Amino acid sequence: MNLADLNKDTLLSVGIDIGTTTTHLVVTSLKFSNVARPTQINALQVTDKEVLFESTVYRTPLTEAGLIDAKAVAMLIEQAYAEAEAKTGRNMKAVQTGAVIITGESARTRNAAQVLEEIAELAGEFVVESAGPNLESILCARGSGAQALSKAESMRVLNIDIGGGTSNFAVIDNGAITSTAVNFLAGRAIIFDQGKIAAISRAAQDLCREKNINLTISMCESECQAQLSLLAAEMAEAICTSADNYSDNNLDLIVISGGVAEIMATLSLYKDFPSAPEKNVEHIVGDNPYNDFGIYLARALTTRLERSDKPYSLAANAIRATVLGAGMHTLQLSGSTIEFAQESLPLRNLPLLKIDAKDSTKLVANIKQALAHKELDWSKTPLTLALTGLDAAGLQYQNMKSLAQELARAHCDLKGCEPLVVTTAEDIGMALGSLLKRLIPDKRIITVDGIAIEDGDYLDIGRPLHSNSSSDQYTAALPVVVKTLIFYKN
Amino acid sequence: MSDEKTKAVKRLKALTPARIGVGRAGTRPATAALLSFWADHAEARDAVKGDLSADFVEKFCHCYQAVAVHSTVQNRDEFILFPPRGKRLCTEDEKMLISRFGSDVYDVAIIISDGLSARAVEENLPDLYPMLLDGFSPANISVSPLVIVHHGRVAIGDQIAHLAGAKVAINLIGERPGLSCATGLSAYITYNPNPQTTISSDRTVVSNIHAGGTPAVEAGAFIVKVVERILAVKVSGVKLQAIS
Repeated sequence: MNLADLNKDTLLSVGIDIGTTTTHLVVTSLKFSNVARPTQINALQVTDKEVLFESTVYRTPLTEAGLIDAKAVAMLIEQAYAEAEAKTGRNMKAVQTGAVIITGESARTRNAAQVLEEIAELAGEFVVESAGPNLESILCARGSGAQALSKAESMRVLNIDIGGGTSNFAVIDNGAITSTAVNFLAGRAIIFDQGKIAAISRAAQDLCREKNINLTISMCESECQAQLSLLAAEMAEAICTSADNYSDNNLDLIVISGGVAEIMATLSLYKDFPSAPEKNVEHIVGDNPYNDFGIYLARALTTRLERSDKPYSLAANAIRATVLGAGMHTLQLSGSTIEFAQESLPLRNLPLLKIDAKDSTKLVANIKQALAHKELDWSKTPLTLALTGLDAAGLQYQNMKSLAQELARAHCDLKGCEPLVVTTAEDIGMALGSLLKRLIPDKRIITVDGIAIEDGDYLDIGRPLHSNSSSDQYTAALPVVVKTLIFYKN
Repeated sequence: MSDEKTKAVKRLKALTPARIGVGRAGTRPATAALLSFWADHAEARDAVKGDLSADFVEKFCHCYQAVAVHSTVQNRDEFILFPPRGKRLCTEDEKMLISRFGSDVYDVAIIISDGLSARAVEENLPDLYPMLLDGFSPANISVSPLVIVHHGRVAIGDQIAHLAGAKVAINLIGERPGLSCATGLSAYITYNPNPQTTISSDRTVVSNIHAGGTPAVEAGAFIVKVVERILAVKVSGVKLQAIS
């Protein structure tokens, strides 16, 4: 690595994906710079992303009880970090951002919190920990390249990331992720052990019951090929039906990523060589390394998609979609004219309250209502007020001033914790911040703009970034991550 | 055009106020496109040719004890034909300002000039100016009496601030209008302004202040920070960039 890479205009980022079946990580470098024209106020944006290191895809270590083995995972990651240091020459202690994502069904296991705790210290300062599959859906859609494609081609794209435990759906309209969903039809529906069925997931059991497919524990894999294929076909059908439902049957393209897509890609590669021993699973993709249903599902899904008239494609680097998304696409940069109490950063897991600020006389009532709705006590929990509904009139001086007054009043009346954190989409962070500072000078205030919050539950805010190419010292951008909870759709 | 292509063009058009995808009729622009071009052009011309309204000047003079002055220019046509004449105060107003400022010294002189768009001034200043006052007062930065200039260009701000004995000149001036925006304002900020010695590279500029760019309130808060920094390091313009 040359010296230029060590300047302050890059962020070292890590993405760690602890899935139902596999665990792996990537190390990436995010370059950010000032994209504003001279004489205009600075605007920092991530302008370049580079993958520095991709780890081996490890099997996720599990305990006897079927939980993620937190200690073993931490050791794996430590080992991968050492490898990354050796390969890239970077000090992994300098990792500034990224995400640890516990994905799929394993997110539902009881020790997710413990796993994150084991890794948190190791991972880096502003590395987001998440066990929420909604964020996973978003990250997959970004990591698979589906979002970039949708934006470049002005298309409506559905990304389906089919992993071991879950299938994550994200609808992307012209580059904007408009909805996400998840279900439990995935590669680990059935686990084989020494040629016999060792486990059947609940989702697969339900499907078997519904479709009268006779599959039970300890049946021989070789003897129930017909049932397995039937289940795979039904599962592929169900995934495609879900795809239609989630996207209102209005799509330009389906992009498939995840471990199952990786197998589909391998299968299609062999299809081009007629001499290859076709249909013999064992020969095509090695000897089913994960000993699960992924291979069956991959074949059925290929058949099902070939049959439909919908265009689809497999993501390049399919199995790494989540981890690439986690490493490269977690953070947004705020606008650069903002107000922040540096000593309060970074902030993590701030509950997010969307507040209609169109009429500032109703602001206090709106905040009270939102607090009651989320059952939060502002005096105990620091939180973020995401102001919405500001129009051109709202940006006028008099209205901004009353908005600041009402915010200050709400913060005092409700005995809100410090720092007072406010976000807006409109470019008014510094104005609102300085008005607030005049009103409540001894309180810590953070006003962040340029952050569009569609649907979020928690917010993380990192330390400020300055750019070499910025022409001043009074502008800085804050890295912000909006995390969302899952919403299930059946 | 197919539906899909129309959709794509619509999306592209949403990204820019520039005239793209306007279509044509034979070899000519489509009527709607031509009319909107004419309308925008007329708006730009109006902005350049328009004077500050008496209402605006009166309101500002009343609310903020501002004083209105003229450059050496007699009318709008002369202002456009002879740019240097807009850079100096007329003798009468120069004398008036000298007596008004007296021997007091200030940290900052704020000047409002119509420049090439009086509309830009009228639309942005009511939100921007109070943000400046709100920012300077708690920082104990003293501000000289406000001056509004008819037919003023950038350099006239330095002359006025020099008369006021201010360390920093802020000239808030209407920008040359384009076909997509006639209300853009800029702030030209000079440390140690002096009409004899100040050159363009001595000025720090904050541009693109309008509803579609940096909102006036945000620009106001930002200019305060810029001025605080300029007062601290005692330089502006390219010299400020060099030490930042």
